[in-house]
Amino acid sequence: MKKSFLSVLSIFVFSSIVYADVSIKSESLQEKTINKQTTWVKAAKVIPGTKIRYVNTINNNGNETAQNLVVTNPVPKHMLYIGESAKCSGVCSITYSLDGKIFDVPTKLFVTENGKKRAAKATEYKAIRWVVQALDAKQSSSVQFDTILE
Amino acid sequence: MRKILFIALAWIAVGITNIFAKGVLAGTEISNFSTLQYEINGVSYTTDSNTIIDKVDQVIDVNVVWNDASPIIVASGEINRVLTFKVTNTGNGNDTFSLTYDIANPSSDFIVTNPRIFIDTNNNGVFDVSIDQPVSSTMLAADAFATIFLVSDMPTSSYISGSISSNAIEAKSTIGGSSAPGTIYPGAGAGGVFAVDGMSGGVDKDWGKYEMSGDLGVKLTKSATHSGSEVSTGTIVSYNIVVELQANGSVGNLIITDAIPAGTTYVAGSLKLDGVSLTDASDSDSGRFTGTSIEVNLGAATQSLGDPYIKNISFDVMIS
Repeated sequence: MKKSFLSVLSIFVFSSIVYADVSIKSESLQEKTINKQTTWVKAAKVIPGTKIRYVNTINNNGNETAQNLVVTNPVPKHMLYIGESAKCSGVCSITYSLDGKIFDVPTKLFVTENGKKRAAKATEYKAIRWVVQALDAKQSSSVQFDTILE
Repeated sequence: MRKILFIALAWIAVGITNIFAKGVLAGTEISNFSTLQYEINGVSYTTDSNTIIDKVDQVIDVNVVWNDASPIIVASGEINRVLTFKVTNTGNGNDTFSLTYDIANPSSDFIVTNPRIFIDTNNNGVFDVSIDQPVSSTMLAADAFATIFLVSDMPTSSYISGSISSNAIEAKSTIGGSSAPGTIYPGAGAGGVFAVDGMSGGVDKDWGKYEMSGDLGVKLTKSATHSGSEVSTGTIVSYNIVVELQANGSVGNLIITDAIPAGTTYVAGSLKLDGVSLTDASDSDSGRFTGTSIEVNLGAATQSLGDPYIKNISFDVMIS
């Protein structure tokens, strides 16, 4: 009994350490143009029509390679996803969801409107999912998407 | 100063070119977070990101539209005649707009008196003199509108039918209203967010029109002179008709005719307009002798402030 308790405890402690070593940080950016040079800066002045870029950075600070990394980001309320803006810094696959549960590629997403089935518009996407095969120890990777404020 | 300018430029750069007419309310919190699932050595883990919250800033915009379908027909001396305007808060937050009138339009043919501004207190779209309240400002939520009446008295002088008086209502944001889109007001928006003048510059104005009905108000003054001290057979009498408009405005197809008096004979070739001879025939010039009267077609006649309309028609007859 005592031994099994210790082994559970050790798994828990081990898990916690690994857990803390891969993290994800989200930030919101907006365009800023000075002297015709456009850069992305931390979002600070957000008005209807403003384009906001959300960037999620994954850091693997552990000693092991993380595998099958899946980042899911619901499109924030009041924001409209801008088609084909979802990207990643390395190699990834990207799927989208109209309900936050079922994810698929754009060509397989449909909505029914007035009894007729049509292709879903990018602005109707409710969530985005990126799948990255692996992230080596001490490496980072990022995924992003652009939106516009209603 | 330099810092403020820099911020203003930055604001323009970050989105002023793409403002929605209607949008998410100022002060709304936009939050975002993501979830990461991954495996290490076959063991699955899940972690959430931090949550970002961006507050929506306030766009200041207003739209003023004259809401009558056509010019309001008025008569000299009438009181409490109403122009109806619709003032809409096209921004995304609560705003109080100061309301002012402008009755000094350079193109106006007549100027109204005693202008006053009222709000449609009972929201029936019609001015009720005993119900609707005088106002100098109105608070409007985002996308809300108010019906505003500009009530004036008409001048007592007579004016040409069709004379126009243009009068405006201006609504100006009390948060911004610089008239320069992109001007920022740190902390002045709803709940302390930034505010920025939108495409209207936070101020808008529209003109409504009164149109005068009534007589044409064309004034004719006829005088006669003759040669010699006595009038007898063969005496030449020269007539002069002065044509004037009694008010600023325009009339069309103004034709002056005058019958040759009995006992006289028209002197051929004597018809003149402003001293310039007109032929007696019906031809390309504006005058003719019909056999019994002279006729001069003056066409469109226009008078404006500082540019009075005045024409002199003259012709001679001989006592027969």
